[in-house]
Amino acid sequence: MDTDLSRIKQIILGDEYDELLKLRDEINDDGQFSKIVSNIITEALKERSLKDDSIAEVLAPTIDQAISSSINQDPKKLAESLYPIMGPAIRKSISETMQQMLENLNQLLEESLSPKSLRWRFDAWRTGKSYSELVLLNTLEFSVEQVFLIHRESSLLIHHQYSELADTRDPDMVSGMFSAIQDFIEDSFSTKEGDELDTLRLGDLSVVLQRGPNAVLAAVVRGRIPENLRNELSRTLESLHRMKKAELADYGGNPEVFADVEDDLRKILLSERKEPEEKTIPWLAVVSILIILAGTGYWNYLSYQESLERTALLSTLKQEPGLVLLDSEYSDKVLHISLLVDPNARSPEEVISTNQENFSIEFTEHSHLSVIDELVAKRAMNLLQPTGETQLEVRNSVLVLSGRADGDWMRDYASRWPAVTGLTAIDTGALELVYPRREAMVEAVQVIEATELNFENGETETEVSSQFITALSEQITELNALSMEEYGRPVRIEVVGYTDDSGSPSFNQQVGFERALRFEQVLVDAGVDESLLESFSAFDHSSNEGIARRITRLIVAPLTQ
Amino acid sequence: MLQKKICLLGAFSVGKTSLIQRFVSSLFDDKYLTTVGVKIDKKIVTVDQQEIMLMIWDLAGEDDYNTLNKNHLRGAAGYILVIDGTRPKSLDVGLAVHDKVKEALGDVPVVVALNKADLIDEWILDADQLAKLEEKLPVLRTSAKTGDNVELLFSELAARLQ
Repeated sequence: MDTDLSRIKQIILGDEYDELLKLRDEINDDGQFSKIVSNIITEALKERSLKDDSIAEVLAPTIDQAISSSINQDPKKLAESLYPIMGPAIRKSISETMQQMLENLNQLLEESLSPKSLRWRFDAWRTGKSYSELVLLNTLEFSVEQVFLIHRESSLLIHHQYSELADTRDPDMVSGMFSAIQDFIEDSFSTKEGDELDTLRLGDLSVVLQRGPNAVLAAVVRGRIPENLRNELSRTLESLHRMKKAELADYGGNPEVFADVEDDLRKILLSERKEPEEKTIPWLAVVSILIILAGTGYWNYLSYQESLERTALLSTLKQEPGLVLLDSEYSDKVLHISLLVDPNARSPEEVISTNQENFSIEFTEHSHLSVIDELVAKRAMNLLQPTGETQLEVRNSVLVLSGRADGDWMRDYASRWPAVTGLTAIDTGALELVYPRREAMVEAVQVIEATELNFENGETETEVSSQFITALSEQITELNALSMEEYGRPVRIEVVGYTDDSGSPSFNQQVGFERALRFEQVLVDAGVDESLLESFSAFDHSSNEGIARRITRLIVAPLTQ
Repeated sequence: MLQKKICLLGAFSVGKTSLIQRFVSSLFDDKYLTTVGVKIDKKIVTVDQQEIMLMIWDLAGEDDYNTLNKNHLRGAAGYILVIDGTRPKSLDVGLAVHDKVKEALGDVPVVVALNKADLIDEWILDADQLAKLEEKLPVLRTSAKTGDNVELLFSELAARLQ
């Protein structure tokens, strides 16, 4: 039968029958059907995903399961696959966090260095609040931007006040939505009877709702909700219920009845802006502070003056040659000063001659030798004791002598100047040396040599006044004393007797010699040391400077060493 | 200006929202209606040369799953009951709603909108039922699609408000 039926189908359908059979076999054979589907599955998925999201929905649980199973088997594999996207994502997140932190830090630094922040720190210390709390309170601005007075039963807007900055949309509709939202929350979540929505908040925007029996006040606040806002709302509501009891209870939708509440609502806007600090001047505090400031100022002025005085005093001491300031200390109105003092310097007491009224001074002195030129000069003056005509000066440790000086002093000085501390050399270029004994000797010699005794022709005796002889002999004795003193040896005086041209030379020589001896004898008699005198006859006229007279004269031998 | 709250009530999908959508000023998106359950619109109408601001509360339609939230009715000065002429069930629901509202608000003005007047050929409302309704309440045939009688609908209600 089957074969017959097949043949009939074969006759009717021809080759198509074979193809149908083949197609059926392919569909029935899992292997073959899979191959067919595999050829078009991608295109089919693509085509379907263009139509709707059903593929994603269908695949989602499978993919979830596949991921879980993959993690269970080997978490590392998935981690490695995710690594290229996780890395940048984490980095980005970290960098954003760091950026935020830096900005915060910057802001914090700026804030913490401003005078404002110092005031906050002071306030924090004063009020016992934490600094961060105060910063928050002070930096977060707030403003009550809008106030809605809403009839509670009908949700109709009775009055609306808003600040210039507020972004107001149709307030009539908004006020209705406030109660609708409360209803929505009541319906959506189980709430207790009597619970009421009192705050709506999104970001820094809040709506504070305060309800009375017949009216609701809604305040739209940007920023921190001020603490006393709710009290203010309550007070306003209470007064409204008091003043407009009947109008509220029986509100017929005419807001004009409530036109006079504008001020009350406006007050909420104004009063809840950041209140400016009261500008009243606390006179008592100001006066007290002024007195304290004046007192402190005067005291400071005095001590400043006193310290100026001390500084000036110390500076005077410092400038004084020969004084070296070691240390100074001021305590209990006594200025203790310790210093080095050169014996030739002025004493510290002498230097600060002015009287100190405000404090006393105690000196501790240590001696020292200063090498300052001025002091070295004083020291040299003391040690060398020059005569009044000698000027003494020290320039860069060199002793410069000028003017006139006694030769004796000079000779003596040559051996003594190295004993003066602080001297390294001497300069006598401008010093004129004087020898007074030699000058006296020259004068004495002139007087002595001017002495002439006249004789009569052929005579060897002559009249001489004893007064003259005494004076002459004293002169000679003095000259000898000067010579002994100056040169350390006696003076030699030649007594020379002269004759005129008459007579024979031998006679003349005899007469001259006699005349000299005679004079010598007179001088010796008058007290002149005999050894100083030597008598000669100057008979040779040609060699005796042409003197041909009957005289006897004295010639002093050259007074050199 | 006088303000009045009115409600728009009726069965699910009778066209309440469509009815007011065209000519009221709308602040809120329709999604409020599905999430919060109410959408509030505003319409100013003139009655006897006096302007009245109508705050129109468009309430979610009532059906087997949604029941009327009586809180939304509070303070309403009147309401519009919307019935879909193509759906007899919307009349039943509408009447039930009417009873509920009367219970909650007392005897406040109401106007019935027989909506979808543009599809009057497809209306399958019982003539008896309609007659009874018209006897009881003021009825207007409206079309949200063409705008027919919509303006009149609100004016009618406004005129009846105290």
